[in-house]
Amino acid sequence: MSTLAAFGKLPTLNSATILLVGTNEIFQQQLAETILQEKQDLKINIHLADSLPLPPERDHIRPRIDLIVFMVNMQSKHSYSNIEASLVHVDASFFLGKVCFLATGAGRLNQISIEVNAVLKLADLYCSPVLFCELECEKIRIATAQRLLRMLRICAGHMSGVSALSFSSLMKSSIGDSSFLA
Amino acid sequence: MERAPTEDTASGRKTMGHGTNFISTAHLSRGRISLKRGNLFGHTPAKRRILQTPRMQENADARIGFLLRKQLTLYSVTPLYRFSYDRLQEYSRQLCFVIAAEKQKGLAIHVEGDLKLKVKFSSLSVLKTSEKGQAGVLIQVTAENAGPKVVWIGCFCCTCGDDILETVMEDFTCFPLFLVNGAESLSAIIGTWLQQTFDCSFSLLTISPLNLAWMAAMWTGYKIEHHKRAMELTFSVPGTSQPLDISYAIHAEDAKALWDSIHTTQQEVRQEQVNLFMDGLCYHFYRHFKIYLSATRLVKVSTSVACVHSDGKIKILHSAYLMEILALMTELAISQIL
Amino acid sequence: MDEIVAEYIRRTVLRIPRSEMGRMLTTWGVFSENQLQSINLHQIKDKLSQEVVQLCEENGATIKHAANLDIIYNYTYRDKKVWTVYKMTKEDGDENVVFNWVDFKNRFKASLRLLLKNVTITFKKFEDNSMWIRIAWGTQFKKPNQYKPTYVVYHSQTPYVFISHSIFKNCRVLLFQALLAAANYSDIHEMDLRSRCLDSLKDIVFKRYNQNVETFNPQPLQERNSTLENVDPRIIQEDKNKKETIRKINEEDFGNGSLPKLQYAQYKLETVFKSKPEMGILNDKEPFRCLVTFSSPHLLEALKSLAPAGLATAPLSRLLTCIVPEAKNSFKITEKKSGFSHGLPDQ
Repeated sequence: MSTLAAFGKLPTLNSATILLVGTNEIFQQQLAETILQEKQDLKINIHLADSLPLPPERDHIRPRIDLIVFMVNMQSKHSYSNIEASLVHVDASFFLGKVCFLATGAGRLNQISIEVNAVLKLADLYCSPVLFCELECEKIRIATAQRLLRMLRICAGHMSGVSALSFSSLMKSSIGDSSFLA
Repeated sequence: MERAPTEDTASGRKTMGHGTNFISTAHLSRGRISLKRGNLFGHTPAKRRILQTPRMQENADARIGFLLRKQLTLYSVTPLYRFSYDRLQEYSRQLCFVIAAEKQKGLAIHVEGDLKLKVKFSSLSVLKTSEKGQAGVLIQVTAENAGPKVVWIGCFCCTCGDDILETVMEDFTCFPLFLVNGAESLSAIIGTWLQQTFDCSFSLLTISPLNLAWMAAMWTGYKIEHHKRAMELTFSVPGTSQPLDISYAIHAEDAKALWDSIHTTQQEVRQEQVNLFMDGLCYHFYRHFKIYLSATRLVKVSTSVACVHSDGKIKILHSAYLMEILALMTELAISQIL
Repeated sequence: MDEIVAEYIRRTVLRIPRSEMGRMLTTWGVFSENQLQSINLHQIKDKLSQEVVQLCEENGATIKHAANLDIIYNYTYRDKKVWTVYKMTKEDGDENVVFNWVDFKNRFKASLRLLLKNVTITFKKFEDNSMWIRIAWGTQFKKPNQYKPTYVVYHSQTPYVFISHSIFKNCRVLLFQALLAAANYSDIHEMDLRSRCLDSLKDIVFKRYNQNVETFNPQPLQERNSTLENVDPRIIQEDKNKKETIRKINEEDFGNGSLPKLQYAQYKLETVFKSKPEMGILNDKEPFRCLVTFSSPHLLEALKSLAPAGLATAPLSRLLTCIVPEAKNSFKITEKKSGFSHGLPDQ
């Protein structure tokens, strides 16, 4: 089984790479475009995939991936099981702060096919934070893009004084708290 | 006609006695109940007990027949302020005036001809499931000079919602679930009047695919002797170039055999069992069509006992399991107002 | 003019949308040029219909004329009805008779009138070479009911017949006999193919729909992918190859031209329930009886988009891709020794 390694490759100068994994192509594309619209002093590469593992024939041209975002569509059980299956192909070192879950479509309560708890549990199992976001709404999409970019900068080591692991632990604990307040 | 049958009012009064006693002893915060029930984000519980409801009285069928085989719209309602079972006659009179006034304005109601509408509030003790539970309230609008014919019904209930009764504050009566059948225009007028009179708020009770799956599984398990119908699941497929619906109807006996092979616990139904039931059906489907039903949205479930649509419409087909169905709907309504 | 005829014409006129009124009345050909000019098309529909009836009265219109107008209306709005396809077959050795419409009509009428006196039969031929037959049924003691007619569409020298509207079983038998006699065939059966779109049904059974348009129209790959490719170079599709494969497989199954319009496909499954072994549920050898219906305003387009949207695996099940080649949208699936069988006609 080919796993995706966090430190298998050397970083590229002044750039950062984010990988979006999810079954909804339209949302992925939209989010990717929104991320690129943000002004950046580094070069951002965005890789899109519907599931893992990534095709091995492209291994040699793919830069080091700094952050993996797993997009779970709360309205599709299939999307959830797809992510569950993909997670197996990620090297453990990624879970030291370089993975994040993005749960979309949880706002329409009458349409959700996955328990919100299930996603929280999954994220907890993989020691990674969850962001909730309605990608149809442009403002939320922009805010999410900004959050992801900030995380990406940290994960790629472009933010001095913060490590990916410490930042992710910080996010997790704050999310954990807020979920009990809701 | 505005006088409710004496028997009904009597039982209503009795229940109210219980209610007030109870309310005065318990002042719980909303936060506490949601934590107690593990009900964050309106979650469905991990398991549900199979109700041991007392069989309804002999003549119950006739008394709840008005709820059967009709398309009912479901609403969740916040607790009613200063509602009293003793004042049902007064409510009937007031609402009757309001409707008449609206009709005079000629804005809202377009009932054929010049119908004389009468309103009657009555207490429904049939829907009382336990000693401390409360009776439901039925609102009937009748066209006097056309039969008389019932043109609109609304029914407040709180079936097996005992634990929420513990938490309501003094002066409030809790009927989390409201069922409506009749003209939209009348629903609007009556809804407005109820919201103003009792300072409560109605919202459409939509049902998520998660809960629909529960209903599909639980209702398939109910034993029915006559009028068996196929268990039908309707899925709406998102993201196709043209709208696409998939109806998946399973012969009642075969669906029950499948459920019985999964449901091995006597007293309760578990989330895993419901999941397994749906996953099994989806897999059988996938084997034939190579389509992931798990990527689509379950929007409607119909079984021999009831059909329910995610947009908050239900048709109850069988009186035998009415209480179980109302109890489940009450539970969902409670989770929506908490 | 008979009151029934007048009322029927009036109601038919009421159904015609204003924008089509002038054209349809002209096509109808009952009125003279002057009469047509005199009709005020802009008045209230009710008045207009009365005016038309008035003119019909003057011209002595009969039920034949009324039925003709009804056919014109239904020909234009043929997609409002549900059409069922029937296929006629000849026994081996039956000689081919030279076809002509006059014989066809005569034999059809003679066959039907032989057993049923009270019946209105109207024929009308259209430019697309189709013959429309409208039959209003009566009984021995009752006049034909003009409001529930059966429409039959037939193209000469083809074995296919398109019939709209449910009719009583005994009438159906009579109709079939008449059709077989008129078109010189020996047997007729339903094809389990139904749609609102008559033209699509014709495309399917006459094989006018070409599945492999690609060979004639080799569009360069780059161009077709341009929508996906045209994005920022900083966005990299990791599964481009996979998507391309799906697209190719899909094209093999559905072609890349426009697809015939069907509204549903129905499958009666009587196959053994099998789950993943780890589920460990219902290990029954008895068939698990299901009825699966796919419905959409444009079913084949919807099915075609399933795999690219990640909702199904490619290739899509043969059960779904065989709809057009087999000219069927109603199937019964039973378990066979190897895989599923759907050869049986749905009874």
